[in-house]
Amino acid sequence: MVIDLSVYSKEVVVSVLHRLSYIFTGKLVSKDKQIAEIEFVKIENGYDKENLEELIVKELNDQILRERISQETESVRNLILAHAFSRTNFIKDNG
Amino acid sequence: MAKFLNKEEFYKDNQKYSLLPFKFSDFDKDTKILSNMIGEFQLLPNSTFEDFVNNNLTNDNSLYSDLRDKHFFTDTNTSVALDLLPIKIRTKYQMLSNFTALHIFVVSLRCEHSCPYCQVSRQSQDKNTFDMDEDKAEKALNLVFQSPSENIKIEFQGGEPLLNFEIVKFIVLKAIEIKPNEKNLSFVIATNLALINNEILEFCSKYNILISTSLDGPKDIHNKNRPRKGNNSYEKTIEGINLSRAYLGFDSVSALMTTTYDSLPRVEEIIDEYIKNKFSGIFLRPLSPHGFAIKTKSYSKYRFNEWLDFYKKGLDYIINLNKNGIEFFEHFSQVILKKMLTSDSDGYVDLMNPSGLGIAVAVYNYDGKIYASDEGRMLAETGDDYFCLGSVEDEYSDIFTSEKLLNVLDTTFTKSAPLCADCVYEEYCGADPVFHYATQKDIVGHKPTSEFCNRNIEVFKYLIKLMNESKYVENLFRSWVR
Ligand code: SF4
Repeated sequence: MVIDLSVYSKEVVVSVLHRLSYIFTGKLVSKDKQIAEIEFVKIENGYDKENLEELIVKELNDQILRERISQETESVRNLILAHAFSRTNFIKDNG
Repeated sequence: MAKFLNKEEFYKDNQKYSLLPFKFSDFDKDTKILSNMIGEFQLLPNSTFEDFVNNNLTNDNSLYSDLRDKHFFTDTNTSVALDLLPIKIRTKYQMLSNFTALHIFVVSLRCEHSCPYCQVSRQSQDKNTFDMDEDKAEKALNLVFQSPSENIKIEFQGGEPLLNFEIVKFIVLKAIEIKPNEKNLSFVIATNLALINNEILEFCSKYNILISTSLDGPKDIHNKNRPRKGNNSYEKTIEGINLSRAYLGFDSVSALMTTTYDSLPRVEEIIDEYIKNKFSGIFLRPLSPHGFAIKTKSYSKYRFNEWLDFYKKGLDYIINLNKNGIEFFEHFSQVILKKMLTSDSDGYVDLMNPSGLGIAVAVYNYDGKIYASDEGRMLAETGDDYFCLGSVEDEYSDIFTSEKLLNVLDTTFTKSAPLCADCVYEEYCGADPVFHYATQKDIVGHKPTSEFCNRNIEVFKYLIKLMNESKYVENLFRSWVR
């Protein structure tokens, strides 16, 4: 299965391979700077290449969205956590 | 010319909202589930989800205010989430600053039962080899009171702790004698009750010692699970429960069940047995994969799917009992629901994150070795000492801030573990390094194929589905965590 790395980063592809590793083992092979290929090393019973490819595309898109949300909310997450732990004794002030 | 803008125009101006951090996943083919940093969750139809993440959800959608009230976004009308979220997060992690509260003393490995799934017990009369002595007990106590926790609970386990009741008495009296003023101290004996008698109960009554026993269900299941001479474990347990209640008070006696292959088709009868004996709830526990349970193949006999059916059927039965006016709860669900419906959690070690190893519980074994959890010492009985933190001869700081313990806690933390870090159920889950080490030989675990992970996801989804389908169930579940 061919992956365009300008659309899906290597990190996104690797996390999808890990997420779906209960149904197949995939190897990411780099073809050139932009293009990589997932080679199916082992597929569990009940699945075939076609339905796996569909599933992988769906998971890739979900993972991209996760990253987008995570980036979009990063500053507010840091703010919330800083507030949450500012009045605890979890973190020692070394200053 | 129209005097008013049409509705779409109005909401266009009004639709500005800023997402707050959240995770999502498919709940079923038509629905997404979202959860946030404090464990609030929301189900959304796929199309609504699309609108939401693309900033197109309008405030005429009934789910708009649900999402806002649960802190999935802030809009111009309210930014209270930015004040509330930190407070709720702080509450959630407050228990971490309490450090080790539960201290388990394994006072004897000897037992007069020979339960096939038991990981640790020994059918031996050899007191010298398998009993804790006063020297080790006293050294262990000195470590116990160095824990920063204000509340210290000492739990006596075995084997059968009543076979070495002399050391139980010694530890109780010594603990009371050396306890720093500011600490609250409590005691529990985990016993099969076969050896309980008036003298023991008088001591328990005098020092407010609670009893935790085992009740596996109706007589035939219990006696098959728990063979002993005379084949009367069930009769002894019921007698012991009644006698203990008479001495200590009704609520001072609790019971735990062990799920075995024979239990699986009979969950209703098991629950009925608990009701018959006037318990207010039951813990539908999965069989632990540790130690002898793996060795004896009891674990592999039934995979998590069979336990899951058992659990779901049991929970449905309990909900129906409540509908019919019999108040009764299920403990495993209660632990999870607490995380889902409140900012609190009850410190159940298997579902703690960071893992509760060493920081919520410590186990002082009969031989003086200290383990990071009860399962860790069970694993040790099969020859694997991975979770041994040291011995009662060591310094407190060498044990509880050891590189080894910190490394386990750090690497298994679910907020950074593969898959868990992105998991929509992460706030309800736990790290459980011992389970993953025992089943996958890896403390972090390969979560996509982990039975712990698969089982938990199914349980989380089932609880959410039940609440989503019935207001009655949601209210019932809320009553379990109040
Ligand atoms: S173990 Fe599974 S359910 Fe639990 S947080 Fe990790 S991925 Fe989620």
